[in-house]
Amino acid sequence: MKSSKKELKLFNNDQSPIFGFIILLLTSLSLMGLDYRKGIHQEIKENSNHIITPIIYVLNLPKNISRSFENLFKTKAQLSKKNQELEKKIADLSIENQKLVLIDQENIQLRKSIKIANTLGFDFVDAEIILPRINNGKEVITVDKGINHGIKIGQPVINNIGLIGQIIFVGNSYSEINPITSKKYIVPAIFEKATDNIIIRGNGNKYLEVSMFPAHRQVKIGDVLMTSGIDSLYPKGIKIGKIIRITAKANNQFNQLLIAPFSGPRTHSQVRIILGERND
Amino acid sequence: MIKKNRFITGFILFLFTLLISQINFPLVINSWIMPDYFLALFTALIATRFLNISIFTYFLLGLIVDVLVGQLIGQYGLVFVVIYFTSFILNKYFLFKSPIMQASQHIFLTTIGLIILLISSLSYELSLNIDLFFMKWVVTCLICLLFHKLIKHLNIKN
Repeated sequence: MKSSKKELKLFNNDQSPIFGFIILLLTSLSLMGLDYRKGIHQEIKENSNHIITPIIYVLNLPKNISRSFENLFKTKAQLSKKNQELEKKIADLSIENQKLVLIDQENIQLRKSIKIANTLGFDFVDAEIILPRINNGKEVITVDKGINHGIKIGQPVINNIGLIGQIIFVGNSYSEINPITSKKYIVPAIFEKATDNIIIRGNGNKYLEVSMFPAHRQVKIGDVLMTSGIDSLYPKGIKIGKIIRITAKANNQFNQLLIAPFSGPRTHSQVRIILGERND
Repeated sequence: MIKKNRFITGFILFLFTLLISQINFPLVINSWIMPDYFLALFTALIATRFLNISIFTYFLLGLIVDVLVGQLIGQYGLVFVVIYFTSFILNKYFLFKSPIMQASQHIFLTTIGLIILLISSLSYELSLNIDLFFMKWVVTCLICLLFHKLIKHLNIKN
């Protein structure tokens, strides 16, 4: 009889948590406000990244084991075939490079003649995208390099297809990237034909957008956008995406441009993190 | 002894949720329709009174979840506190005896949690895709009901 009375939740006689509720409601709202202004969440997360590191290790364990086995049992024939492919690729790239050397020299001469300073090179670190790609319902890109490899918050991330995003969190041996399509992402850009400096932002979905582009400026679907480099953060000339839709605004003074990025979070496994300008 | 067993089970469930919250299922293309596993777990824990802990402990657990997977400190803390209080009020005036009634209670609490998370989210946007949010709600409710079933099963064992 006693136990059934305990199970009965109707009109329960537990002490009302109203006081605790109000106190905790105010505390959590204050904490959220404080975190939004001071960014304490980032600091706490950085200091406690060793809790998440084992989980990342466990998630990547099957992939690492299968890769180790693959390497162990790779035959000589497979390796020589791969070698041939790579040699062919090197030959193709060398031919391409010869053209680039000439273009580079022409560029230097032109820069001298119009007195533009040469752009500096950039130091970079190659990293691999690892799991997790999702964090409690939110898309994240995690790479296998962190503080130990000289990575810092804010550094840009690229690959051979184009711009990928920016580092937003750094752990000891892993980092998280904010993709260019994120709503919190903004990048200064220029058209491939070197006209119109603009600011592009992610739309939180799969695309980027320019919300107010002057209607009198010429632009067409398929135009390619690149980083302009005016922010000194991104190297100049990295491909961002191409225009896929132009929508006129209600007042006809501006157009809205929708841009499809060349590089998406699922189109690559290797990335390059730019550490900063080379000091030589 | 039972209480200790429940705490251990709760801790294992927490670790399990932390692991699955980092796994990307191949068929799910858009992150918007990924369920909120922690919301589902804690809704089930609070509604079934599995751990029988105070509102302050749930708030602290919310802060831990915030550090591990959240965007803002206090966000999950707020969600768990509101769910706890709502659950208390519901149990004060209603009797959830049949499975359908219990499922309705879980769905109602999950909905409240998701709405608070959406409003307090940093990525809160007015151009929200309602269809995808609806999908997330459905999937989170389903996961919550699965946790409810699991907890009930563990409850009988304990």
